[in-house]
Amino acid sequence: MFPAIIETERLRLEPRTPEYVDTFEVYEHCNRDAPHIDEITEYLPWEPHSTPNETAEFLERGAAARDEREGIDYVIRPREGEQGAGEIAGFGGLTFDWDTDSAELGTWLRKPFWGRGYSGERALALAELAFEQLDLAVVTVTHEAGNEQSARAIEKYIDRMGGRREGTLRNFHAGDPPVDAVRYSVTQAEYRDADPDQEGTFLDSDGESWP
Amino acid sequence: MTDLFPETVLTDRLRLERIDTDDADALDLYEHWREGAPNVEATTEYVTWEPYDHPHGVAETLSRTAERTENREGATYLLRPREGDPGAGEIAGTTGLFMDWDCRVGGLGVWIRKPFWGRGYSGERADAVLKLAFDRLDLELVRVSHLPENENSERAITKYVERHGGRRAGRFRNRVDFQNGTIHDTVEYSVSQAEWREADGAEAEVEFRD
Repeated sequence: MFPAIIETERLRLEPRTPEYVDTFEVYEHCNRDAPHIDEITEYLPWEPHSTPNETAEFLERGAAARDEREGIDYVIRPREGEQGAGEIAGFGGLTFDWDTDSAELGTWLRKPFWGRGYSGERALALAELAFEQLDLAVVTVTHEAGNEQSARAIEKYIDRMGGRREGTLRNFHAGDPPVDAVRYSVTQAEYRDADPDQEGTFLDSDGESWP
Repeated sequence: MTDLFPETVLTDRLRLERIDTDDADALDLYEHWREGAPNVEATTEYVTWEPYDHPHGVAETLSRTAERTENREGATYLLRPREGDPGAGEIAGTTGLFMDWDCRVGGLGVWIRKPFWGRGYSGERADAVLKLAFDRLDLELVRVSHLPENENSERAITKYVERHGGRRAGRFRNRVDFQNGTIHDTVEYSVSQAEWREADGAEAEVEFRD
């Protein structure tokens, strides 16, 4: 029901599953001693991995969620011509809430890939998938209150898609202490109206055009 | 051991009785929650559930409610006007407090029969449940929401949220789905314990009985 490969001008997205991405390649970037890992995970809902087993489980959960149609997460790699082409730049995907006809965007990027506009490029491709192919009514995204960098990136692409900032939900994420989140949303009508000038290429696992 | 949720809560004009699965309650509530009950269309227009077609359904709901209380996940109370108020002793409505311990948050819910609208019962009940949430359960935050088109709830909620120092968070799209399959936006509000303590609302006269 989902494309295996998504390509944008500068990025190639492949499923976050053991089939497409190697455990140790991911572990290198998300273990406790990975470069800038504390800065990267400061506002993220997960902790650096302590063992490669956690990374293997992370990839297996990605495959399971895809199978169950609960969510699709992709490993993000810069394409030929970009600095760091072929490397893991990060992950990004959609979590579905079919009951409310909506999906939530989520992403993280390694620090060398910050500031390039990759987050927006990935968001536009996934929103295109959510609205054009999956016919969802709403795409949402949240960031932790205080995460100025995410706020800037999100405001930019939400604006491009015609969406809006909804407000701050206090004590939204469990934790010690619980964390506030700022939520944004775009409707399908707003997205079509805004007609963002970007088109993704969707491919199946054989590299054929999808759907 | 003292239950987290008191059996009875008394305010100036209301008596809140915790629902602990009781067939008598089920039959009493069925009178008001059944299809065709007076004003049931109006009182359930903006709630997640549909009127019931058999008391068995109400009993099942109450037994889930009691189970939630036993698991310390929340409590639902019958609202009855106290002596001196018109309709004293009748069921005027129900109210719930739903826990999200990991986020240290309690969510409010309320349903009130139409003859009891306009008396400020919702606000008085909120005073009591906020006191329960903050003074007794030491939660950090209480949240409440209504559908954007539900103006009665908007008025009532705005009033007591302001009185208790809280705030409107905004309108959130495609946030809830109802039993009948419809999907709705919500307008959400929250009050923190610190805000509540600062505001005079915390002074409300409320008595808990175990």
